[in-house]
Amino acid sequence: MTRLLLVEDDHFDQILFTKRLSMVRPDWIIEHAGDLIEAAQRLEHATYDVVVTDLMLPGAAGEEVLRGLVGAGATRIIVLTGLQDVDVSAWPSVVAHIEKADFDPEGFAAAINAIG
Amino acid sequence: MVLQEAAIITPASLSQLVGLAAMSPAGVVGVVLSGVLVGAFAGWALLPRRAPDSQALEAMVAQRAAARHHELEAARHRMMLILHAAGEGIYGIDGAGKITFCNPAALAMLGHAHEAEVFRRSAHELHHHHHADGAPYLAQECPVYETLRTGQVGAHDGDVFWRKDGSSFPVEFHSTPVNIEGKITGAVVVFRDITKRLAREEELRQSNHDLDVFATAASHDLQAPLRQIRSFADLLKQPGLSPAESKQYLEAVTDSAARMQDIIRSLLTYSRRANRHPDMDAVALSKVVMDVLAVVQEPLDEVGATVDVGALPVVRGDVARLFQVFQNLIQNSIRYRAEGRPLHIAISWEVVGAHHRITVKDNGVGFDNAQAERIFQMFERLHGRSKAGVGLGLAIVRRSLEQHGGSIRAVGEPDVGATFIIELPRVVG
Repeated sequence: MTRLLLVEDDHFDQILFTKRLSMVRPDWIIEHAGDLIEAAQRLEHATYDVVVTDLMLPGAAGEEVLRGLVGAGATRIIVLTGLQDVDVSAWPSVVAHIEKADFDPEGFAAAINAIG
Repeated sequence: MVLQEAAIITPASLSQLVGLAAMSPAGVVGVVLSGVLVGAFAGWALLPRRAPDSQALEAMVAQRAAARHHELEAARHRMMLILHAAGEGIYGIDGAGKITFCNPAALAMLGHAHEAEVFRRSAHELHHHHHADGAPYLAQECPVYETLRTGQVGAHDGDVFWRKDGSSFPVEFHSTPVNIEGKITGAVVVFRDITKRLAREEELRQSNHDLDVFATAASHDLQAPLRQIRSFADLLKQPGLSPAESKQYLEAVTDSAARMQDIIRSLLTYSRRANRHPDMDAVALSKVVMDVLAVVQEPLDEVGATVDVGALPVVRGDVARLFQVFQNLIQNSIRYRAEGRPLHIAISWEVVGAHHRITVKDNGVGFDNAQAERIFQMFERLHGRSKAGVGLGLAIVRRSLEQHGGSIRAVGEPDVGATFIIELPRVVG
């Protein structure tokens, strides 16, 4: 069973991501963290197949977010952000970068399955 | 003005001067500038000294000489008017770079009361001796000397001229050679104080920067709620939604729309603040703060906040903008209050040198001091989007205070609180 951690402080984006992904993958478990501290706590107590994260979080932005997540033990990260022109090539843990406006639940689920 | 009276040299005195006997100058008008004879108009009569009709001829030539004298006087008067009326500073130098005349605008800009203070002094040593950064300005590098050397008209922008009192101002200037019969005998320098022009250029640069940020905002901060509206509307189209789900999605649509409206309203406020000059007046800050507290009383009561306001000064400012400064700061404190302890805001005043220092201190969530400058940038929210702000409030505060000749900085400590330190000039009047 696939288990995801969504790190997103925007309440509406949390609802949208969860609802839309659940419609195509109702069996997946999606958990939420609103900031890096909460994400680190969850990563400490559970194992996730993928961490999906925004890059603008309370108290951290951009690479600070990635540094924080990798430091907390995230090994596979998908960046889901409203920002364009994001360069995550220096981060091997980042397996994909998706703009929120382009989020397609079917394609997203297929990509995660492909990762394995 | 050192333009001396045009001296009239009579035929008799000139004939004495040059010792002419048979060839008598009948009428001569000499032109003297700055005490130097630079030209003459003369009517010559090639006649024996005591020819029978010499008296009539002398009278005729004297009449013509007088007419020329009047023409010269009129020309001199016109030149004086132009030099006096010119808004630009104009001065002349001789071949050695020494000032030969200086118009009133130049004297005023350079801080001199009388032309005598600059006459015959080196223009370069008087007001062009150092660069803006304080480094000595060698005469060999001076574009005016270049004009004296080459005879080329020079245009220069970006230097400063130094006033008598030691202060300086940025100038643009032109130096035009005075070429008499192929010889460069001096130059005329026309200059203009470009302080205001540079300020306008800086305003324009800031405005362009804001436009860039504005465009970023439109593409990011406005797109987020727009995208959410579309996504929730799509969800609403799904069959089989429960009434609770429908209600939740509809509320999300209206909330996102309201958020877009907030952003647009704030952008407009910021843009208006950026582009209009404030209406300056004497403003009692204690009255401004009381008015703000009346407006934000309800949200203050809702969170159980207390506000202490000490004595506050009267400053020179725009009452509407100062109102917004304090309103935004207090709303900021409400927004970033700490959970678990009642919000307390203290507003106090002290005089520091030439400034009033007004401090707005709260006991909210605070912030890391390393982020202190980021909070004043447009669309920055240190605490992400979980707090309701648009991300423009403090940018508007800073912009408004800068337009008052003031400043604001912030000091924070996480989980202890934030302190905003405003400084406004003490000058009133």
